[in-house]
Amino acid sequence: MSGREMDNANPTILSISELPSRRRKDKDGVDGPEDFGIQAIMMAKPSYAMDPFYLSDYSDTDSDDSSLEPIDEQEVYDLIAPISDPEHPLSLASLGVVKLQDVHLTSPSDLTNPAALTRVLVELTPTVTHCSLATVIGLGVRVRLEQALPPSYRVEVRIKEGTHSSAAEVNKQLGDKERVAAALENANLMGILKKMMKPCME
Amino acid sequence: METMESSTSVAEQKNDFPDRTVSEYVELSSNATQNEDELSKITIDITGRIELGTEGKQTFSLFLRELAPFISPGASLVDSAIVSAVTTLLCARIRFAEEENYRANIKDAASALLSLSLMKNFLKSDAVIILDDFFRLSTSLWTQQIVATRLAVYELLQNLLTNHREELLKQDRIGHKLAEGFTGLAVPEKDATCLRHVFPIYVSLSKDRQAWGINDEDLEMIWDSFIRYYPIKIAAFGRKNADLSKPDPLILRELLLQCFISTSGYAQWSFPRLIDLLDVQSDVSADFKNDALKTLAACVKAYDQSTIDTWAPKLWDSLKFEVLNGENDDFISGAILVIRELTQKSTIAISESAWTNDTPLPPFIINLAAEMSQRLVEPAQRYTPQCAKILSAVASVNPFTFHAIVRLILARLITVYQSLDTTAKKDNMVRLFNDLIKACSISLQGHDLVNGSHKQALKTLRALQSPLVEIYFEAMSQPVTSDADEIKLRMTTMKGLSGLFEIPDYITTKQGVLVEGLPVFEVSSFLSEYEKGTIVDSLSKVVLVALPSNAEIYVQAIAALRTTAIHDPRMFAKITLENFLEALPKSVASKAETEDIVHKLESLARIACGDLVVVSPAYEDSVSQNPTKCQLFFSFSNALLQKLESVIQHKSQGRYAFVIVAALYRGLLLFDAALDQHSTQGTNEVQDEGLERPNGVYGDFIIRLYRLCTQRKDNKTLNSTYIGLRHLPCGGEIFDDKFLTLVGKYAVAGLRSKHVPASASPLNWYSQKSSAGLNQDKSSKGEKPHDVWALFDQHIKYDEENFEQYNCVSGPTDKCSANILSMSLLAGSPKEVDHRLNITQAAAYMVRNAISKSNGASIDARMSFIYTLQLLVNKFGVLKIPTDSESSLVEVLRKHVQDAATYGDADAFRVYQTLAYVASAALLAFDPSHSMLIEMMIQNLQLPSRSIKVAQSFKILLAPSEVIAEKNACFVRPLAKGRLYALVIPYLITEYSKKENAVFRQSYLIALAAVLSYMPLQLIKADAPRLLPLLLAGTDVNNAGDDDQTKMDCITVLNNLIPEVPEVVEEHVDSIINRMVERVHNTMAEPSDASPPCRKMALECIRLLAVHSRPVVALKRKPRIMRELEVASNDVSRTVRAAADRARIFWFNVTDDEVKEDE
Repeated sequence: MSGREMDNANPTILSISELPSRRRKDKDGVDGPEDFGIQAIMMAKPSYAMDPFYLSDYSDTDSDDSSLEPIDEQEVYDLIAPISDPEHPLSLASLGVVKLQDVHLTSPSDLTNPAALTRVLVELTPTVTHCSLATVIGLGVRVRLEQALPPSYRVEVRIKEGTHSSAAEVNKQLGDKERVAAALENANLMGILKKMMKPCME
Repeated sequence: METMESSTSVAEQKNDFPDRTVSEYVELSSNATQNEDELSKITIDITGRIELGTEGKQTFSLFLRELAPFISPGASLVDSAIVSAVTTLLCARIRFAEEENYRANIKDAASALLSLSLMKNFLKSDAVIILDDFFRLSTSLWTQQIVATRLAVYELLQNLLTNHREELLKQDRIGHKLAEGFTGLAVPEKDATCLRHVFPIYVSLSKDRQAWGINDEDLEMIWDSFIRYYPIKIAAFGRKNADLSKPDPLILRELLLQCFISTSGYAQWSFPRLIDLLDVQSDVSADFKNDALKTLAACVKAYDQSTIDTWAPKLWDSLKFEVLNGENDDFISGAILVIRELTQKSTIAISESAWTNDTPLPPFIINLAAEMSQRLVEPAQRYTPQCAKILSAVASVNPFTFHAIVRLILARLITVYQSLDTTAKKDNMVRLFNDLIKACSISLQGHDLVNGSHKQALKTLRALQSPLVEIYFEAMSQPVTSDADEIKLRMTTMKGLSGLFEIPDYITTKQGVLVEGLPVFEVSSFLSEYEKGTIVDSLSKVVLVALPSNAEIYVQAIAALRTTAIHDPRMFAKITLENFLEALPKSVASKAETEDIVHKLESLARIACGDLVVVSPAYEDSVSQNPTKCQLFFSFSNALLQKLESVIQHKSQGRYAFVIVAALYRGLLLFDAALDQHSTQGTNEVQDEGLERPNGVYGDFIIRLYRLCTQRKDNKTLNSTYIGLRHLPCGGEIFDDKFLTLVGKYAVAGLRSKHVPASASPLNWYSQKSSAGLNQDKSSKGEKPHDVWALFDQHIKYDEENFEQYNCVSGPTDKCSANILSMSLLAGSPKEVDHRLNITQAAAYMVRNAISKSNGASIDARMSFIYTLQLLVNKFGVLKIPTDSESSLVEVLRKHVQDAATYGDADAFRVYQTLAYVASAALLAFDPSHSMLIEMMIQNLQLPSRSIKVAQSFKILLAPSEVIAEKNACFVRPLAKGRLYALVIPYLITEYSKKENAVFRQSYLIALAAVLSYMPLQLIKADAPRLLPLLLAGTDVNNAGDDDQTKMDCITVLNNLIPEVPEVVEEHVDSIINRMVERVHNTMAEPSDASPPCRKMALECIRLLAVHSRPVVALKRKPRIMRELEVASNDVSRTVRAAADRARIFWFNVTDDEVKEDE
């Protein structure tokens, strides 16, 4: 933020390899040394796997809907992890603002009811207790999740207890739907949020 | 600067002489060379022209122009008196330049003087006059001169210093004159181009200050003159919009550095100035500080030792502060570099070959070690990492400094280590030991192995070897939990252990006997056998645990074991390999056991095959049985082959055997990659080493594997001999097709390796014959059939009636499966291999084998027939061999295709499949017959009940293949794609619009998508308007067994086209959205007909529309798309949800603002 002194000019940064991202692992295709090498050689598909005369024998297991993959905490974390901090050119995950263990999902008791709501609670840990941008970050996380998750998910974003000096006030703002809606009408704020979301587009 | 002198006498004479041109003077002087009076007159005449009255400027310009041809390169005025006269005239112009009439043409005068000064006839004493006259110029006049003038003068002065040095040196107080004169001129200089000439003049004067007689006062004058430019700001010169006529600021920076280091005399000013720059941190940018450190290092390197000895304590005070308290890695590295230079300088007088344990240590090192030692004994251990950097930098300078540091500090540190109370502190201290161990190896590099007194360095270390190694052993024996410090310490310890292996022991190295004229050295290791064994054993234990608890420790242990192995392959064979083999069970019963074996063998492959053995120079000189670079790979492969032999003797061990072959293959791939890496570094000895083995590096292992799974058998029905699969006493199905395919892959990788020359291939018949000890009677029984068919069986003899390995029309099945191995040999061999086979006949058999209803061949075996056929077509050119029309391969296939009309589906499909593969091989080789073969495929599209399968077979034509690939020396012509496009696409487009039959229309779409999916975008783009409707129709195709391949192909092509032809896409945007939404919409009530990968691609298509459509077009569709994306965000597949999320963000950003901008 130009023209303003940073709240925390020297934050602790986690390396990308330390972050529990499922998307990164899927992208890299590795989970550990065993995934390469002999195991891969043994699992290799035959050279004719894509031959249309044999295709049905070797079709990809990923290509059917037999396995349901419900939305879990990891998926919610992966949605918000890349959001950029408004102060530093770093992701919220690498700054430790969002943590996998602070994403909570509560499924409805009646799973057969399509109208039942799932509750998502994300607790944020600001890098410093006096962080003046905690509300903007919280708003970013909330907007991101409301955009990405299905309508049957209710999103709640809060400041983790004991991590911010004005946590109650920030939580009040983040929990107030009307305030959030009004904030999103503000063009400047939307500009900041769009900038924060940019890494999610990559 | 002096005032102008009177020139009355010259002026008085002016009117006595007529105005002459320079040509006339030259002519006169040529004719008057023998007449001194005439010459004198001419000279006076020229000199007289100095007084030119009010027309002076113009006349002088004219004179210079006239003079130019006579002083151009190569030209020469005839007489030295004339040269001198002209020089005098020009000098006078400079001398009187302060007067209005004489002011012009200084540049031309300087240029002319430069030319004159380069002439043979130039009077050397005139050099001093020229210097004097230029030094007289007033500052006000000088600063008015343009850059070109100043540049010409600097060039002239630089030339005089260089070419007339001897004459100048004869002058009294020339040093002072030069220093004062040059600095007087250069003081106001700011132009970069001029400075490029000024700095070398300073360097020249300072470097040779004794000869020039430049005293300290004069030197300070020069220093003051150039230090004003330090430090040179790179940014100030505007790197981005650099003026190309100006020199690169980096060049100026280097020239200025040369000024700094030109004489030790500058130390008294340079060091304080540079130290100030280091100390006043806040005022100095990072670039300046880095530059100051580099300048310091260069000064220390260049100045003489006595100067450095004087300054070393002061420099050390500043530098240690940078390292101990610094936070910027660049500054720390810069300071370390200066410390290294100080160390180097402090030991420069110590003869490498003469020092002993009693040689006094330099005070600089003693002080440094004492201070470091003091810091390291502090209980808090705050500075250990920083001290490690300093100590390792000093110790790695040369063997003597290593000896000094070990002697002064190591023993004390070993004691300190024992008292450390936390794991973190221990880790820091072990890191320091590691750095010193590394420094040992670095300091010994490039020194005489046998005679150098640097052996003393190792002796000094050896005195502390036992307690040092004990520290590592003790650290390795500590249990490791999940505590980060414990993990760090374990990693550091393992690094140190492998570092100890890297220290060569030259103490006991001695030259042995001469063998064939070459000396044999005996190099033992620094560590004892017991120590090495213990290290390898402890590292093996880390790797051999069933499931490593910490991936980092596991990877480090593998790296450490690899280091130990490449430095001591004997120890690897004796301990590491043995440990691993012992850990492998005789047989396995459970999946978990197999997984454990996979883990162990993966570790072993990485250790043994990831790098080449380090062969010391001593070994390289020897001809004895010393380790070879490939020894680890050989030991690994031998051991696993032995294990495989043993495993296959047990019942139901197919999986185990398969794992071992996979490990062998993995090892080969790793080792070949290591060879690649070494060859890119310019090391080619490995190929030579491979050449020494008759079958190359991999050949013997390929032969052993092949022999292990095959055996000669009799076919009683046909009364013939063939190579089938080996019969094992325990029964079972160890040698299944998957196993054979992997063995085949091993052979292909080994045969096609660029590190095995063709002459050393195991497929070389002649060397094979000699290595097998065969001496067959060619006249009676003929030659042994080629190993492509005999599969390395030593006893098979060539007889057409009894041995037709390629005839598998009637089976038996194991003979069919053995073709997997033959095919692999053909795939891996070079094109030029002498396979000694009637390939036309072999190809005909392969067609029959592939479509045979009765041979019972498995899928893999049948595919091996097809691949062999492809290789014969593409690589060995069977279609180019002239035959009668009926027996040509194309006609054979045509006949089978015609007959297939009467076959059942399964049999007919085998024919269509074979046709597609042969067509592909011919197309990729651009064989002329490809048109006929593809035409046959197109004809088959008209078969109502089979057209869909035939259409699918078009996918085979350009599909990537493991067999028909350039790495297998096959032809993959780039033109093939364009050719196929021309042959097929226009036809399919036309026929699709003509046909009304739904099945045919669907078939055309399938074939179209199959071909387009591998086509370059450039080809498709041109036809985009015609293709888009068909591609959209293709996204709707539903056909059983295709697994929505056609849909995916069509959407992929569509996605590629959207960014390229957005205007064409816009015409169909609603159709595209409709089709994609249909694919994407997947709910319990309305499931999609598309698979998750297909839905993901459809979402990507939707996303691309947001990016590449005009905002006004996108905005109209946004509400509908956002609704559908909301549905997709609840898809059952995670990858689909992720794609939906990505698309939503892009569509979210489509706003009114963009439309306004667009408008």
